[in-house]
Amino acid sequence: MRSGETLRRYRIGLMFSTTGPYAALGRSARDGALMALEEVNAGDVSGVAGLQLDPVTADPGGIPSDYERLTAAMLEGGGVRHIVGGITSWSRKDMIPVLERHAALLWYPCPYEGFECNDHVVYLGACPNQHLVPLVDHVLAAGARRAFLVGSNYVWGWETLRVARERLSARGVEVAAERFVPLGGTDCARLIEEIDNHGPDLIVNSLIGPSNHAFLQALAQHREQGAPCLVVSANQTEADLPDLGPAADGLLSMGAWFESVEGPDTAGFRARIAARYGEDYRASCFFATAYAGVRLLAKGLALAGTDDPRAVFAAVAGAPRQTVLGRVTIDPVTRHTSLIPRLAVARGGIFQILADAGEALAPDPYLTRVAPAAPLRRAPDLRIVS
Amino acid sequence: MKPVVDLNFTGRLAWVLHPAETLRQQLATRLAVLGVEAVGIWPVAEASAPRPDVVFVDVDTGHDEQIPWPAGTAPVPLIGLVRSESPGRLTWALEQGVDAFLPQAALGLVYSTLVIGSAKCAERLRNARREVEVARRAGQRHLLIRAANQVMAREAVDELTALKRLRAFAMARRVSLEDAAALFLDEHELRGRRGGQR
Repeated sequence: MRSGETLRRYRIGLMFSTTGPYAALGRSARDGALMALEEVNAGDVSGVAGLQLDPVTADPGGIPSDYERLTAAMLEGGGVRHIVGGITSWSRKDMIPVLERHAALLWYPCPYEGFECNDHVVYLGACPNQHLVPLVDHVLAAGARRAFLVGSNYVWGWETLRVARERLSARGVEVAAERFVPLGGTDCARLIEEIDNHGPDLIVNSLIGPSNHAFLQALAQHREQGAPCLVVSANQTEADLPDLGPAADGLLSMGAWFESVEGPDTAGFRARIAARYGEDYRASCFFATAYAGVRLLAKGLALAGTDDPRAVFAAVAGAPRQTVLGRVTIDPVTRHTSLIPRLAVARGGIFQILADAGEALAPDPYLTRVAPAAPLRRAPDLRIVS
Repeated sequence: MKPVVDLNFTGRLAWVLHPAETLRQQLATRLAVLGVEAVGIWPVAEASAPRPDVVFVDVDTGHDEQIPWPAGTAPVPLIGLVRSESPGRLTWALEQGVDAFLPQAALGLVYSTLVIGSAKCAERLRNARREVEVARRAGQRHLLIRAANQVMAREAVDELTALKRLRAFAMARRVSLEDAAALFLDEHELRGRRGGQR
């Protein structure tokens, strides 16, 4: 900080479940947010000099009702007007009514299923036109014929699989089954049995946390004996790889960031991550998005000169911003972020980029600009005479 | 057959009947995200205005003359924009047959309102068509009785068998039972008259 500048201190809430059923994702995002806060506070970030961001952390442990309770506690105590956090849509939807009552802003750093535009949220993660639609289009081009869909039993699983089912069916891919596993559930024997019976050549996997790990481990054991089958997902990141081990090999994932992304900022970013968390630390899309979110929040605070959520959002939205995710823009109306979709395959404990769109894709949270799939042929209506 | 739910509104035209330019603009911005073009109108649309695919109307200040159809018969979804919740105004909106309500403080929820409004409008139109059809068929009951009597007399069968034969005839012709009765009478009475002329 230059002498003569006034230090502006703001308290920033970090609401991540670092324990509980999706703790690995919560820890990853929290680590990214904390690293960005530290860099801002150290004066290492140009354009935000004079800011001091004090983290106020809370761990809802993946318990939905605790998100509401802890958000209220964070905001009612005064001083916190911005929260970075939430992993599941369930958690975000539990936080929104509290954010609305306090006119606060949530910086949400996760891919999600779309169909929401709340005035108290900044959607930093990808929505389906940026993850699932390009992923499904990729497997369609590869010639999938029979698909098996499996997801966690909440809105992420329901909606991503709905989009996958409609898009695959419309292009003539048979959807053999669509199954949901309770959040945190790890009993996959029945699923594997069904997959064995149906013999799909494609599995769309929207499981998260331990369910995802248990399923992919069980599937890997099964695949050693059976026919190969492509597994694709819009929510797999490096945060899952330590738990998955070799079971992840061959898994295709679409995301806004992977460790192997090439870009002008990536090498420096990786070096700073290694310096902060150790050489063996695995950063993920959750990490990078939470990091980018805090940097964008800091930029907004610096530009607005206040932490008033509306002023901060207005200051940072609508113009391209260079981030570790690439050059992105937060849409002032939908409040979603343009992102660069990247397709990667897990091999030997890392995600290798297969395709990088290069340019940011505008968000389309209601899938209004995605070309509708051709309608299914329907049987003629029969008339029953009464 | 289960009705198909409308989930994509790209390319549709909305009328926004509201006195406040700011509200009209805010809603138009939200609708543009959904691919819906909005035309702000107050108080009444010009006769030459293009027909809308959906109409939003301010419940507080809306009036019958603004809605280009008799109350309850709008052929497109009618969505009430709610502000003050006064009972008299809500009653007016219900008499207009609004298909869904959107609080003006929650314009971010316009997508779900459109989905629900479109589904409810489709259901309302289906019910209206069904009522017309039921009334039309009720008006043909005398033909059904005449046809059944003729089958009973011609074929020496009881009433149930006569009705069963008429139902089979209806299924073969893919028409309602009442229409089948009318067809049956046309064919047989015509044949009878022709026979009489010979």
